[in-house]
Amino acid sequence: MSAPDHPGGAYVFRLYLAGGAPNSVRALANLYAICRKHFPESHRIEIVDVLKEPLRALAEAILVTPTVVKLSPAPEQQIIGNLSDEEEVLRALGLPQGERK
Amino acid sequence: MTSAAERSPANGLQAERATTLALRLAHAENALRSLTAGQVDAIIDPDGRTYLLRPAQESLRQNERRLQAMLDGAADVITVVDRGGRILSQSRGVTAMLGFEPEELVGRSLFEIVYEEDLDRLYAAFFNVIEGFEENATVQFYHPLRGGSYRQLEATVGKLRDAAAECVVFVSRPMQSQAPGRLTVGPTAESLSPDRFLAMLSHELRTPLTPVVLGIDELQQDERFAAAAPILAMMRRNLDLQARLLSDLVDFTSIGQHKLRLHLDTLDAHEVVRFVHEICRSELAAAQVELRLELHAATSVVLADSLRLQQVLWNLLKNAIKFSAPGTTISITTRDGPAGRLVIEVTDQGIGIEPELLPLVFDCFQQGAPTDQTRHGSLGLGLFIAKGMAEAQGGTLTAHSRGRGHGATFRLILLKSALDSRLAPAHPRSSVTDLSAPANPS
Repeated sequence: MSAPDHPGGAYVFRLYLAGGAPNSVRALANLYAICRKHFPESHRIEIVDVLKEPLRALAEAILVTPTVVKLSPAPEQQIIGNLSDEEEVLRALGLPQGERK
Repeated sequence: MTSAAERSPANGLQAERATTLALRLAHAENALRSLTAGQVDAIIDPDGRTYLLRPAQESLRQNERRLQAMLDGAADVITVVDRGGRILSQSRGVTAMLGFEPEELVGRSLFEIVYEEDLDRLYAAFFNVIEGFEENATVQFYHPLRGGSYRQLEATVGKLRDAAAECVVFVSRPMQSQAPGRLTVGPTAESLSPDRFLAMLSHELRTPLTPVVLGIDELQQDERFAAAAPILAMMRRNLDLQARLLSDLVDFTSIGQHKLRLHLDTLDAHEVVRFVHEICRSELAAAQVELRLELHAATSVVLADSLRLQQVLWNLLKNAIKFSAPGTTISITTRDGPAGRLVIEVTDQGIGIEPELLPLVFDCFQQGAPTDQTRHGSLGLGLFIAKGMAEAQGGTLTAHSRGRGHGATFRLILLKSALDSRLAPAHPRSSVTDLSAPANPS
């Protein structure tokens, strides 16, 4: 609907999770919260359930869940865990920490 | 072509590899940190299999490990069971106390393991605790030992509250003593350990009976108490029974400790058989069982302890009576055996013994089905004692039966005194190998 609020286009994340496992659910919720807070206009979250698609996780060298990979903007970066530490998530994914709506 | 031309892409490749490697290392580090923080819930292995580890479970497992280490160090045996009685964990102490490895018990139902007569009591305690009717309960029960016998334990039963599921914890220790009122002995030798204590206990318990017996004798002869005669007779019978049970216990302990004192002498076994017949007359009459003596042995002089031989035959006869239906016959036959031996057989037409139970009949406290036990009112030590005593006198005692409903034969083989020479008491403990004689001597 609205234009991306950064020049490189949308922020794209892929979250590898394990069904409804607690950390996975928490990671998903945290990721949504972070995205809503920092990139409300321009984010996309892909979800890969490793219980349903284990080979896909394997192909993409994902060892554990939950893992979130930032696909865009480049470079591709990832962080493992339930994403409860927002600062840490932003830092690890190389995202602008000051960026606010 | 030139090496320089090739080197730079190769270097680039190497640099790229190094970056990838560093990245992977960072990921691995990240994964490890998340793992220890309990933030990982699945691991994917190189074959693409996914292993779920719920963090709640993981931390529970860690707690469990810590707890287990603590429990394993405890002197008491700590058993955690689920609502259904299935053993979830078992502390290491169980090996020292009962001989089992914890792994042998985990997964099994506690209610299938313990001595079945204690089941109601144990289940009641378990039920009251898990249903919250009681905070704690204490229960005594017999737990099998790895060797096959039992040991009496006392357990404090409590509920584990903060676990994900409800569990019950049994903290068990061996019973150190038994109140005299509770001397309804269930299983086995080691269960009553230490044997010495038992010997002392049974002696102590028997001593006060003597003056009571004498007192009742006195009253029975006093005409003023004629009206109470049936009651006095009943008291006397029960005291006699009590005394017999206690002396059984003493003998049992002596046999267990290999401390049976014998006074070997040359004596006529036929005389002993007749004497035993005499003292069992009233019991035979009460059971409406006929005893037939067929004393065919040409010589019946044996080397034995007369009291002990009496006891062996008495136990065998009483056992035969116990399992005989009214109107049936018991026979005691003697014949000359090979190599200067005397064979004495006590045969009944009673309920018989299933082949698979034959090796067990001489085990202490073994007495057919448990329900028979109350009916026959004894400790089930008779045959164990008989065998121990027979062997202590250099003889053998074996059981034979063609199965349930076909009666049983107990064959006692003694050395005739012609062989003489003082025999050192044989190893008197009952053993299964002695029973490997054909079970179906038909």
